[in-house]
Formats: sequence, C-alpha cells, structure tokens
Amino acid sequence: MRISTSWANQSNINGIVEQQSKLNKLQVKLAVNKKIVTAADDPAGAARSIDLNQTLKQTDQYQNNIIVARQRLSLSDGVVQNVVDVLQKINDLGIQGLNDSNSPSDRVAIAVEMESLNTHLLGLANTRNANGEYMFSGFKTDTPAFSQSAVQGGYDYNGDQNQRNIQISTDRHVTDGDLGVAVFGVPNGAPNPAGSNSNIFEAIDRLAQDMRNNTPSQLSLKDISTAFDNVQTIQSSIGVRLNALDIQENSNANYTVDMKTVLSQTEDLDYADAISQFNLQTTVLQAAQQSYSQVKKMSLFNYI
Amino acid sequence: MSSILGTSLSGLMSAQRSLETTSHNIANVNTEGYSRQSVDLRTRPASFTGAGYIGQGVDARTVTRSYDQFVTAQFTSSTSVYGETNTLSTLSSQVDAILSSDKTGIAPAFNAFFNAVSEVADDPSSVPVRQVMLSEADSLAQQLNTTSGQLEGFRNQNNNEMQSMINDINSYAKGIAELNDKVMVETSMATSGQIPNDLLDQRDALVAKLAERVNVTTLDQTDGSQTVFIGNGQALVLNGKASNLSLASSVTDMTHKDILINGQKITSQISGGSLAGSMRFRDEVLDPAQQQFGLLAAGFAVAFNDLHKTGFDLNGDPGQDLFGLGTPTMAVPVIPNPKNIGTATAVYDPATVGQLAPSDYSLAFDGSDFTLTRLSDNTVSTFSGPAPTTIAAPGFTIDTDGAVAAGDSFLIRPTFFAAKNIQALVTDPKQVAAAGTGAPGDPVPGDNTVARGLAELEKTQIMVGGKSTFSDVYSQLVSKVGTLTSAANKQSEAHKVLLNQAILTRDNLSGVNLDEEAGNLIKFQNSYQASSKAIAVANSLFDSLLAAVR
Repeated sequence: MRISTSWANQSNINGIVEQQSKLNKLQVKLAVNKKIVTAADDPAGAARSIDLNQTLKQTDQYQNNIIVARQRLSLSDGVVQNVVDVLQKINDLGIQGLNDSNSPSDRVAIAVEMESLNTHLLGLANTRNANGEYMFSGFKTDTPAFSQSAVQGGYDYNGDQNQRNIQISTDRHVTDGDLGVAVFGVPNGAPNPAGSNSNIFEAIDRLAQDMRNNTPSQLSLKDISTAFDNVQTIQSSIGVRLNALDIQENSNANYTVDMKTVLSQTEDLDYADAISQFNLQTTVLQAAQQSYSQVKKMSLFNYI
Repeated sequence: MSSILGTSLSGLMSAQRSLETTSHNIANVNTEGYSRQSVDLRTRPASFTGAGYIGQGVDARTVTRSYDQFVTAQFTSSTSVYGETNTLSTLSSQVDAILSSDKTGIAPAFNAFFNAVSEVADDPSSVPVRQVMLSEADSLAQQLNTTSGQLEGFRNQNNNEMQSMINDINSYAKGIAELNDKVMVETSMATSGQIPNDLLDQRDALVAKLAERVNVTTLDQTDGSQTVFIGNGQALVLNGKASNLSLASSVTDMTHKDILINGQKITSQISGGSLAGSMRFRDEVLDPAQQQFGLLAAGFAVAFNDLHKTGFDLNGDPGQDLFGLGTPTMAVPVIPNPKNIGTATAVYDPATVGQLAPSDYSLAFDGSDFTLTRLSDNTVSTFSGPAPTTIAAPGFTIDTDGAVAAGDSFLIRPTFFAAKNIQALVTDPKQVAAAGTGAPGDPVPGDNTVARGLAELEKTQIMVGGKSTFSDVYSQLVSKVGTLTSAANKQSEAHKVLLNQAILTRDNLSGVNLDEEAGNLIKFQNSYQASSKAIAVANSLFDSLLAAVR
C-alpha cells in the first residue's frame, strides 16, 4: 500500500493532537478532583449529584433549624425553671402565712412579698427571646402574653392558641416553645375564690389579697400546687423536646455523612486510577512524538 | 539514422514531460485536494519495412490524475456526516458546560433561596431574615435570567453561524459553477481525451468544502460539467448556474430560521454537514433545554406565588405575587399571527401547574372549533367554539375575544421565555407573607405556617404530573443535555475515524508520496540521459557516414 506523504504527516499529527486532548481531559479531572467535569461525562451521575447536593444543603438547613429550636427551648427551659423556683417560694410563704401564729402585720408583709413575686412571675411570662418576640404569646409574638385585666386581681391572656413549629428533618418538626395559657393556666379575667383558680397570677393574687385581709385560705395552697404540677409537666415536655433535638441532630449528621460518601463515590476522582492513566497517557504521547520525529527523518531525497 | 534521432528525441521529450509532471507532483505535495498526475506514455505506430515493423519511439499522449469516483464519493459523504456530528458535539458541549458548572449552576441558587425561606420559617418576625430571603429570591431570578441569556446567546451565535455557512455554500456553489464553465470549454477543445486535471481537482476540493457544510450528491455530465444536488434533489449547481440559499425568520419567531433555496423552503430536507449539525443542535438540544429550563422557572414561580398569596405579611395584608413572569405578572406569552383578526391572552393556572409541559403550543380556530396543538409532540386537543371562549390548557388558561375568526392562529409559549422573564417583585421585607392568619393592620408576626409550607415546596413533587420536584426538573435538564452531548461526542469521534479512513483511502490513491516521486525523478532522469546518449550515438553514426564519403 502506498502512503501519501502529506497524510503520513497529518495522521502522525492527528495522533499527537488526540493524545494531547486526552491528556488535557485527565489533567482537568485531576485539577478539580472530579470524575464528572461536565454532565456529558456521566449524565446519570450528574443528575444524582445535583439531587444529593440538594439533600445535603437541605439537611444542613435542618441542622440550622435545630440550633434555632434548641436556643428557644433552652431559653424557655430556663424561664420555666425560674417559674418553678418562684412558685416554690410562694408556696413556702403561703404555708408560713397560714400559720395562725402570724400577726396581721406579718401577713401584710408576706402579702407584699407575694405581690412582688407575682410581678416577677408576670415578667417571666412576658419574657422575650433573642429576636424580641414574646415567647408565650403563640403566633402573636409582638404582644405580651399576660396583662392585668380591668378588674383588680384579674388577668388577661393576649396571645393566641397557635404554637410555632420548626422543621428538623424531612418529616419531623418540633414546637419551639409553649403557650402562656399552657404554662401559666387560663385566666378568668376577674378574681376567683381560693381553690378555684386555674391561672397562677390570679391564684397568687387571691392568696396575697386574703393574706393582706388576714383571711388566708388553705385552699389557695391547692391552687399553687395545681400550678406547680402544670409547670413541671411543661418542663418535662421541654426536656423531651430538647432530647428529641439532640437525637435528630445526630441522625441528621449521620445522614449527611452517608450522603457525602455516596456523593463522593458519584463525583470524586479515583486518584490512584487517574494517576496511572495519566502516566500511561504521557508515555503514549511521548511515543507518538518520538515516532513522528524518527519517521520525518527518513526520505529518499536524503540520498540523491 | 534520422529514425534513430526521431526515436531518441521522442524518448527525450517524454522523459522531459514525465520529469515536469513529477516536479509538479512534488510541488503540490501539500496542496489540498491535489491528485497526483502521471504521463500516459504510448508507443508510436511502427513503420513497416521489408525487415518487419521498426519502432518509432514514444508519445506522451496525455496526463492523467489518480482518481476514483467511488473513493471520492465516500470521502464527500463521510465529510458531511462528520461535519454534522462534530458541529452538534461542539455546540452541545457549550450548553453542557454552562449547565454543569457549579458557578453558573441553578441548583445552588435554588438551595440558597429555599434555605433562606426556611430561615424565615424559623424567625418569621425578623425583618433582616426576610430581607435575606428577598435578596436570595432576587439572585435566584437573576441566575435564571443569566443562564437563559446564555442559552439565548447560543441561539444568536448559532443563527449567525448558519448565516455564514449559507454564505459559504453560496460562494462555493458559485465557484463550482465557474469551474464548470471552464471545464466545459476545455473539454470541448480536447482532441484526444485530454483532461483539465487541475481544474477538476479544484472543483472536487470545492465540493469537499461544500460537503463540510451540507450533504451533497454530484453527477458528472458528458460535457465535463458536474451537477451538484442538496437536500432531496434540489439542484444547487447546474452547468454554469448556481442557485442561491438564504435564511428566513418564522412569522411568529424572529429567532427561528428556515432555509430557502431560490425562495422555496427546504429546512426539513437539509441533512449532513455543519448546517444540519447547527439545526439539530437548535432542535434537539437548545430548544428543548430552553423549554425545560423555562418549565422550571414557570412552575416554580406559579407554585410559589400560589402558596405565598394564601399567606399574610407583617402588615397583616394578604400575600402578593413574589415572582413575576411577564406583564401582567402571570401572563403567558401569546404571539398572534400577523394576519389575525381577533386576539387572545393566556395566564398560568396554579391548579394545573403540574401539567405544564416544556413545549410551545399553537392555537388555531377553524370557524367552529379551536385546535390546541402541543408542538413538541404534535398532540392535538379540540375545544368547541365559538369565540369568545375560555380554554383550559395544561398549566394555563387561554381567553379569546369575540373577534377571533376562522383562520386565526396563535403561538403560545408558556415555558420558552419564562426563565428569561422571571423576576422577584417584592422588595419590602415586610411583604413576605409568612403567616397563615392575619387581618389588615392586625398582623400575626409569630405565625410561620405559610413560610414553612413555602420551604416545603423545595421537596414537594409538584411538577411533571406531581412526579418531580424543582430540583428534579433541573437535574432532568442537566442529564438530558449531558446524554445528548455524550452521544454527540461519541458519534463525532466514530465519524472522525470513518472520515480519516476515507481520507486515508483517497490520499493513498491520489496523494503524493515523495519517496515514490524521488524514485520517479531518478527513473526519468536516467531515461532522459539514455535518450541523450542515443542522440549522441546517432550523431556519431552520421559523422562516421560523412567521414566514409569524404
């Protein structure tokens, strides 16, 4: 077979160019540490990598949400612990005041302390979180949860009955706080007789009033104890939720690790394989260049 | 003795012709399309004498080129197929690259936006967090605009390239026609089958260039001219006349070009060559990509707005459209045929957003019924008239006015422009409707119900009949373009091998081998020297004879 001189030259050059282009593709992959540089390298893998990245980013967001929920619940936990402490104090004062050895003036002094503690408690119920939101008002976070009603000794709840949920995984969410009425009881708006108070502030107000009037009722202690039980239930519920956040955070973290492994398998380069291919490719390119220069030297014209 | 001289001279002359041809071959070793030539030598008729036939030497009858019609035809058709697949592969790779890149990628922008929505769900009363969400909405819309603009850029570039290919084809056709004229003159003057080799080579080279742009078939005529056909047998060159190709825009879409020959549309008949590659890129890669991309933008905007409008903002007012797709905000582009009498408008329908398809639609009225055709697969649905009427199309509704008359038609493009037109409309962070309840002047700032729902949209299967999330729509686009590009790359590589094979076959037959020419040079030089020697012998014989009679 006769070979045309220009084609012999061209086919050599073509070979070198092709080897260079393969080498370049490998270099790009090595440089970015990806086996999928564009979707054409592996269309299905590229689509999977988009989905995995989306899942990862979403899971990151759930982890952020968990941090937000934890902050709020921890704050709430602290406030509720304070409420428990104050209630304990009031309970002690109540027991002390009911003792008949107290003089009317002693009881007035106790009443004053109780009233001051009640104001503190009201302050706790109207605590704001880091964003300035009233924590116990439901969705109406711009309104203090409780205020004194028009009737002396009565209180009003100004929040609503909705509780905010925060998404912490694809199909799991937690409430980031509790309603004021759940923690402090539903107010009547007016004073009630001792023993029939469902709201902490009204109960304490009634006890303080009775104390001031030197007619404290044993029944008030029942009111306080009911409120105590109520707050403790909430406290344990917060604990359960904080625990759930920890569990979910772990599970999200594990999921992230799994997804990252799959993602890495999908798009990351196998360096050992790539380097050995790279070496092979450079050898092939060298061989093509050497054979070109050798063949180019050979011509009959050199001898005539 | 005079016959010795004559015979030797004929040898000298033929050796000289052969040497000339050999040096012509050497000179043209790198000329594209050159076929090596050789002198066709023929023994002169012998003269009859009593002693038998005495040879009279040699004649250089003609110069022929090493040429094979079949091999050339194979080369031409391989050139066309490679031209087509190579163009398709080169152009598709560009789209593949912009869709695959992390920096220009749409997926990260969607993730960032939905994460910002999720932050609003965490902190619905925080204005800075809402501001972040609006900024992300804006940057997502701009990202969609940018990528859509890049696709649009490819379309313009492709149209320009098609125009320059058409110009090339016209100029090559003219060149072939001029060469035809010359060859016909030369052929008519040839007395004994002499061939104008170099003109034929030039013409073949032009046909090869033509074949790079469009598939051609050729037919050699007895008068030496070559008829060149493109498409389904439309004559591009006939004798000395070349037809004119041109591009024309469609009436409803300036950017969609058709190919005309002498004013007659032949778009669908064009095959092979970079011209067909460009058209296939447009029809198989670019248009579907832009439609799918628009489907993502339109579906996202419609579904997001729909839910956002159920919410209430920080002023207690109901939510507005957060994203706009046109003017008015949720209008579907309707392009009327210039001859229309009536008008029609269309808006996206959130209730059927899942049925939205990545396609244009055409609406035609025949006087009694409306026909809605989905142009991606020509699915036809019929709606009874008369106008005015409201037509519930998949993903949008069309309203026609009473003036619509028989023969009116409209091009409806729910997805094509969506990514180009999408924009974030809300600029006041308070107007993000995160709450599920509220009344004007009486907002519920802690309510995050709707914001949570909006964040959930990221993983809700809304699109493509409720089977795909937004991310799925995008990854389908990326993998579709990736698959097409990868197939085009493989085809292009395969056809390059075939083309190289065809070039090898042709060059092995027609190309110049310098070693062979070196051998020929020596061979013809020897024969020239030998003939000279014979002349010297004849001379000395003559001298001997003269000396004898002196």
